[in-house]
Amino acid sequence: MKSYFFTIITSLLISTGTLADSSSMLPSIMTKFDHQMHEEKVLPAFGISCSTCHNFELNADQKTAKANPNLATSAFKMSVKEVCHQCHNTEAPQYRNVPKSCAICHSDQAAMQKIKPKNHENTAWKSTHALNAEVASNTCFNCHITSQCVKCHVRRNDIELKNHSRNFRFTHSVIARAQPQKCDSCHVQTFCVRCHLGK
Amino acid sequence: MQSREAFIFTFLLISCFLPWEVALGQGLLTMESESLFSLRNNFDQELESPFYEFFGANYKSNDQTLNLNSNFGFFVDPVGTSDNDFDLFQFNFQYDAIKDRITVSGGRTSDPVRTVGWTTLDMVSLDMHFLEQRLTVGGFAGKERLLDIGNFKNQADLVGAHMNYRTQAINPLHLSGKFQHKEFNIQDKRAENLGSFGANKTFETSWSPEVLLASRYNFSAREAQKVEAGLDLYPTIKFINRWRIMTYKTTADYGIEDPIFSIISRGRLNEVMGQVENHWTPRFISSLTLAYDDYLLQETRRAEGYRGEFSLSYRPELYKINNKYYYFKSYGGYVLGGEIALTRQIFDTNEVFVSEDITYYDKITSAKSMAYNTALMFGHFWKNLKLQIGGEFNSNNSLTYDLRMLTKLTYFSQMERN
Repeated sequence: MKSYFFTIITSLLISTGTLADSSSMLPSIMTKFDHQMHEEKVLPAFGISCSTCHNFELNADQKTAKANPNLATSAFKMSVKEVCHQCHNTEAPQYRNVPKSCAICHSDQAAMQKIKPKNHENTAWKSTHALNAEVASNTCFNCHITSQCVKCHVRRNDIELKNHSRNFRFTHSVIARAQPQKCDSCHVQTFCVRCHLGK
Repeated sequence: MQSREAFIFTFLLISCFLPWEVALGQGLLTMESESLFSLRNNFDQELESPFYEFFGANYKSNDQTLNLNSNFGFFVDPVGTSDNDFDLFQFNFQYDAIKDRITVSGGRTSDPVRTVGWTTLDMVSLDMHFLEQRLTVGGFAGKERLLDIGNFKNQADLVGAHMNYRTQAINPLHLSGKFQHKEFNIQDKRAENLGSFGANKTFETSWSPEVLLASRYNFSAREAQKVEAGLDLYPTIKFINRWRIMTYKTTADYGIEDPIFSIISRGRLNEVMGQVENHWTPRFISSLTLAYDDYLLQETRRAEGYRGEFSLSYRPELYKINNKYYYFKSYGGYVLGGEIALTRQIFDTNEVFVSEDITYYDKITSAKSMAYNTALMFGHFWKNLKLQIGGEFNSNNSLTYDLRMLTKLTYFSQMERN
């Protein structure tokens, strides 16, 4: 039984590690941009020309110009971020129907860090996020996945304590009476019964 | 659930995500795993070797039409006497049957999005989106699951509806409303109807005030379970001032899932909290929190609770230092303590973590003592893996000398296909 168990766990870790080794580096945010779709369907509808995004450089004949395709290195009148945000992060009424969800492009962890809300950097965010999450939990899941909630609110193990220190066992009778409503965030009475009336 | 079946089930869950390159389209797959192992003595000085595994996987298609979630955890103690345990936290899907218009969801969920309060349930739901997805209206039906008593034990059925709306502004007004009907299938438990309402808005004026409001009403008991209002002020870009006021009341009526609050309080609790936080530099932050609670202890007696916390966070090059001092006072006594945690990066692939937590308590039962917790961990990184090995030392009223070994293996990866 024990060997079966360890075989499963080892296989899981090796397989996921192998997958990780075989995966390619995450593409930059620019690779999410569908140029063909924008060029054919979106930009003409808004009357947006190539020069809105691209700089042009003269051809050798000095009479014709071509768009510089390299957004990362060519000099723009605005940053690449502003190029995207002028349509996708604006209140301008003509762009009302343009998708505004940040997660469309900022979907991987590295890109999400760039748009992390300022209040998340606060040391007290762990204790004050409850009200924000209760009111507008949909916005949380633009970036977060629900397992991040589960790890603190639902998961139980006493090997590594996430929310309470090891000393909490000796102080919880005082702390629970100081703020009794806090316990209800994660526990019901069956949790107390385990120690106080049972094993 | 028997352990053998649990492991087979676990392997099947993992298998659902392994062939994603063939079965699923363009999207982002996120996987994480935390494996914890410890060697320690219990309070009877018997050796234990608990092992806990938490696994999570999430897939989101690039066009945002498909979302798959799975989390589970299992616990075994090969040497000790603790019972094995398996918990399925989530196993669900969300799919846009009509893109940006209708979303169908199903499976096990464990979150507060649709239900009033946090609930784990097996459910199906339908959401409809309007006004460029700024308005969502939906309904759900499902069976509540209480993981403390078993993965598939059920004592209540839930149906409900919810609404979410936000305005078009860059700092929009958020409105949310929910209704939930809970039908117990346990004899003598009456049905319960709950409703909630929430609002949130940041104003683009001086100090950028953010106003928050959350309320929960029990139609069956005809009382407001919770009303909480908050105000966050930003006088400068570096200084934050938060205020919260709340009234809270829940009653013991559900049997095994009675709220802990009902053990301590016989009536309504009122709380006010104030907090200030200052970012002295981008790497150095301090905050001070003060809270006062007042609640009905017995029919003719009220009790008070106090909380004070002062914390510092310092992030110089290669270091991460957190320092916190706390004070709690209630009719049960008072607690005073401090903790410090330091992480030091060594080269690019190693780190050392050390923490110390010292607590003094003086209880109404005349128990006075100190408790110490010290941890030391060494970590090594690979591309997506982190291995931490170390130990923990505890000294307290129950165990004068408690030394335990801890190993933690963390895996996190994101794989994308375009």
